[in-house]
Amino acid sequence: MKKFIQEGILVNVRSDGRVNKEIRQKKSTHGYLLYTNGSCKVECETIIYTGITLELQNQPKFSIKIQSIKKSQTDKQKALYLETLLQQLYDLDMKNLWISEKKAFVLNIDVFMLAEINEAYAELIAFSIQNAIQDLKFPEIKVTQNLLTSDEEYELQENKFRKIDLKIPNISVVGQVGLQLVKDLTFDEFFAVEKKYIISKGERLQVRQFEQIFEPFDSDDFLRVVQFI
Amino acid sequence: MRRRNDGRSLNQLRNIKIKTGIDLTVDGSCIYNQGLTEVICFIRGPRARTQNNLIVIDYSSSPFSNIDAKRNSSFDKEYSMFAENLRESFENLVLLDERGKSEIVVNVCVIQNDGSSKSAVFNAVTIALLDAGVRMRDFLVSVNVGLYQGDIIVDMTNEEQRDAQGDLTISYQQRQCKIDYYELKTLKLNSNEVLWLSELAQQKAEEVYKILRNDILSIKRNEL
Repeated sequence: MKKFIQEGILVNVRSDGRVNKEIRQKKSTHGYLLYTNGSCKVECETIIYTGITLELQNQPKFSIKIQSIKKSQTDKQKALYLETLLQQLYDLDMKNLWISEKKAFVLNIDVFMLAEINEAYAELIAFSIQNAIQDLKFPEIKVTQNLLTSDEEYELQENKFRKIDLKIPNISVVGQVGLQLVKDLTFDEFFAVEKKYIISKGERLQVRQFEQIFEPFDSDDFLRVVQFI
Repeated sequence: MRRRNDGRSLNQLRNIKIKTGIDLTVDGSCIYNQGLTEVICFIRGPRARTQNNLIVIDYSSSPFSNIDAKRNSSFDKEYSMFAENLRESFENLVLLDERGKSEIVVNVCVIQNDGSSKSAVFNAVTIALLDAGVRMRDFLVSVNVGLYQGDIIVDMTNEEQRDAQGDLTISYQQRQCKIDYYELKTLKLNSNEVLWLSELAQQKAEEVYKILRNDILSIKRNEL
């Protein structure tokens, strides 16, 4: 199977009929979940639900939690790996999340998928998170000062929302077989390709190789990947 | 006729939509939607037994299923009790090998809880078991009824369940006409109200059975 996929990629024919640069149609439904501030349901190779809930805390931050209905022994490790990787790649500008000097929004991003957690789904998870952030509505919060205690008081304004531009980077995964590069890998292709790169394209361009995040890689490969995307 | 907040009449069920075969790596699967309540169920088995129980239930809810949803639902007492009830209900129904060396693993998760989630879970597991081709003695359906603002209503939403004076969920074995699971949460109900709720629940369970039976038959016919 691995050799079949590799040979296909080398001649620009993939197992599902696509060419190397072609990406799959993904069905995404915004605002799918009721009890979130932003959500998305993505249907492609598997189904992924992403919900974002907002909190007010002393420092702005965002956290990603990935869960699956299918539990395996390596679940927690893989989830932790993906969560850490995505948090590093999503280099969001937190300045816009402050609502006053003392309080800021915290984004709790929950990803729930119907397949086993695996790095092969990194791009799909990132796509789902991106869509959920696009659907995100920040509520308008009125900040007043208590004249007696001089503490800040916060009042949620119903049905009023504020626009915060989060400048989400676009995350994609590119595979390499020989000198051929291929976009939007399926689960089988992910494990068949020789090298895999994860790219974050936003205000900064970050390119990392899977499983070798802290090691430098070939500059020719880097240039090839940058030109390809 | 008095209408509820979502436009339904007092006796009206929400739209039920089922979708089976969503994951081909498991033996049976189903997405069950009842209004905005969504439940997903995966079935693995029958396979060689690895644990003491005939049916192994993994019941959970997603972190965004409800405003009060907790992350570690498996440690919650209410969750573990309901999972135990699910296991007992379905263990009485499924027909596995005579030597008792098989087991079925059921993963059921509430994606979104907009009320009547327990009855949705029962129905989702039934449909997923049918999709997996597991033989069963009976067709188990479930329905939720309640007393809300003085009216007896069917299939409550989350908002209605929070303020209801009485909340009854039953699971019903359609062929034997027996109630298998009966959970009544109440502030104060008199015996007549309890009786009316129970009778209405049984009637509506028959209606749910017809809907599910027709849906699953048409899905399987289309597959053929």
